[in-house]
Amino acid sequence: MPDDLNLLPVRERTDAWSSDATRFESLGGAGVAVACEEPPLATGCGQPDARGRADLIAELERLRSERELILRSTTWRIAVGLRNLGLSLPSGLRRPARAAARLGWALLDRTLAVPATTWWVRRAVARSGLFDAAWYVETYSDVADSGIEPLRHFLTHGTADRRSPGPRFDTNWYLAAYPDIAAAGINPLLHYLRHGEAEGRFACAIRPSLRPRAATPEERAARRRERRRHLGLDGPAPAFDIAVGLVTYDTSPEDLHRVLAAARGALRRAGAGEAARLYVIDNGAPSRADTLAPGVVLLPTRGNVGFGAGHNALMRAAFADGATLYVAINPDGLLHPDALAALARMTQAAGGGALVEALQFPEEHPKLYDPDTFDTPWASGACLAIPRQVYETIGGFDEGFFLYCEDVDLSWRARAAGFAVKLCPAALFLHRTTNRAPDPRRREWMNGAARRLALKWGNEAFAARCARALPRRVAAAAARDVAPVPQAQRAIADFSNLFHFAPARW
Amino acid sequence: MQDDQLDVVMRLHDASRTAELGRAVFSLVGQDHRPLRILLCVQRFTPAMMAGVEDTLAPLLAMSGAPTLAVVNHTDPLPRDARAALLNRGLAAASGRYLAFLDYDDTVYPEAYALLVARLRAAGAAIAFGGIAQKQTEFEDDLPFVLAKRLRPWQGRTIADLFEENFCPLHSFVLDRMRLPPALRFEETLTRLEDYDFLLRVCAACRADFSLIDTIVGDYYMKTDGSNSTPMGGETSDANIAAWHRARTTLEARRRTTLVAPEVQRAAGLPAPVPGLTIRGLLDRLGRRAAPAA
Repeated sequence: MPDDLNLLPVRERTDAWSSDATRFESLGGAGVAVACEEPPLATGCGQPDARGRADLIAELERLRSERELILRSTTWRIAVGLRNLGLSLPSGLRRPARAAARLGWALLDRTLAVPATTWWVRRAVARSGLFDAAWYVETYSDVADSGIEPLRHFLTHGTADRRSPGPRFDTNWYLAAYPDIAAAGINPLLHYLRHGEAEGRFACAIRPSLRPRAATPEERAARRRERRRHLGLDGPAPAFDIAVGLVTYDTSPEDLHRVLAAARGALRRAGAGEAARLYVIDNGAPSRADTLAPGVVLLPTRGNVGFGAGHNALMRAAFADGATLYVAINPDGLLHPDALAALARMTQAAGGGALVEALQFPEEHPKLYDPDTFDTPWASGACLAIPRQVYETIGGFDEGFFLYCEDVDLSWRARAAGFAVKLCPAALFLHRTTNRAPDPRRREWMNGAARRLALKWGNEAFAARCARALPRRVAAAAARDVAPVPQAQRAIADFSNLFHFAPARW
Repeated sequence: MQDDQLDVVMRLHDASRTAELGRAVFSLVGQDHRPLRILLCVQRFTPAMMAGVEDTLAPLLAMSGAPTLAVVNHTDPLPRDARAALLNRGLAAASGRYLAFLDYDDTVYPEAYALLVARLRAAGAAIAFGGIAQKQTEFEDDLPFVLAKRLRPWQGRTIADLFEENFCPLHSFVLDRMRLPPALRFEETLTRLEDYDFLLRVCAACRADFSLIDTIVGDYYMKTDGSNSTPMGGETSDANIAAWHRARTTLEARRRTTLVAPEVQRAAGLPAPVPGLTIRGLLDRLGRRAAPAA
């Protein structure tokens, strides 16, 4: 990309620093706000003389840097001969010669100024894929009226008006997120193409919210109240009798002990006291009762009946024992001590009629959720709160699913029945999903489950796609005894985002 | 020095950010590697601030098999910007063979330290690097909303790349203290790039292992509230720019004065090591990008 792509080359020098600064600051660790914090933790910097001195030093450094950049600039180097020529003139001629040189330079500068519509600028923007002419014309109604070609309009008028070139680059957001770009006064899109992308900067907030970002303080305050309401922070204390259930598969006694200890701690902090309800069923070899902590209810194994069937057995037992909120957790995870309390609060805030999943941590599923209402298209079963009310209305998991997608199916059925499905970011579930050893069975299970899901929810094309990735006998088994949902419910299903089953954030 | 023990030096300068600290510590609770000790270095915290930190962390540290915690409160009045001083306080308090760093608002994956320590042992290296993903995140009421994620947004994968530019965030590596040069410290006069300066000195002197650079071992949270990564706007931006410029100048001086050990020269691609070769000299011989003008 040509060097003179930048529309405002003089300010670019500052930008070059800022770009480097951002790259390194982003690497340097997160304690970077230390230098910028205001006096509370500072010593001496509140004194006027110290601050004045610091400002002077900073200004001196800035001027030094400016000088260095000028000395290193191509223009300065090119002009060295002219300057030497000027020095060789008789002293009486130097002043008029300098004036003439200034005038000449001004005229040359004006002649050579890079217009915004120079062919290489147009080419760079057009090739970036970030300029969307149709979107631009539709978004800014005056463009069509102006009669100016959209790209030319963007380059000559749009940038100055802080308009965005398309849905994938948000000019206002970019300038707000990176104040150094705004301060440098350069074209944000060109900065992104030339520097920003390589520096790891983002083109837009990619905020896939179900609603646009709050713009005013009033809107932000309203959103905050709404978040608190959905989180259940301002309502009465939850009145659930919580049970936690695990379906294990040859889980080691050490891991099981750790998971159960974390669950017991979380139950205690959720107000369960010593009467904590913990239920376990092992789909592999029967767990030895003596490896479990006292008070854990161990159901007799039924063999490897699948994830959903295992949890259904546990739910039946827990609800029969009086539980009102069942929380399914995977044995390869750990509940944060406050996770169950947060899940219970959010469930209660939804009137007890919601499936609520915990936020998987440190790596979360990329599917979309609303950051204000916490609604999400489906909830993962890795750590999922299922109220008795929902269970009694829609039943448990579809036991036709062996592993995977049973949680998507349960969520869609809950939504079809009018229940909310939410993700609670205040409830963390440490889930070991990163850097797992490759396992071809996992791929097969996923495709088989997805095929069953597609057949159940009426998407033949996606079912066929999954079948192509499966051995024939597995594809046939996945389609066995599928009971399709009523036609009216099928609009809830989302196969357009493939195996995410929801719009994804990345 | 206790064999197998891994000390994780964390730094926190803002008492209002304990929710993020709690997330970072929870990621340490989930680590496979044991024994693990957290050395939390805070900057001039009052007793009330310390109590807030303890309230946040107590339930996590009460979990079965949780790491132990020691808190170091940096109370010296100077330097004002104590980011490097905090790391040095942690370094001084470390007692295990292995050492890692983690800022209060970042996280590591459960297997991160086990993988990196295994690499240190297998390669006989002093430092082993893993990859870090970047998550662009909005925080509202202490709750994160991840807007986007990028795997390894920083370019580079070799020792020569690292000598040229930093691509390894503070929590991307584990050190074997038995193989480190003695009395290694962070340069406290630096208010930017102190971690890169540290890495230059470590990696010029000792063997570094990059074989896990494509394995993501943690996340760097790039926050949209500007609390971590972008220069401040308005009247402070010039001062920030000046600080960055000073740091870069210091770093280049470091490249010009730090000698590269023969085995590091070989690892960087120089078949016949040259006595007295500096980092800059090595980069020149490798045909890497020229140094910025003085």
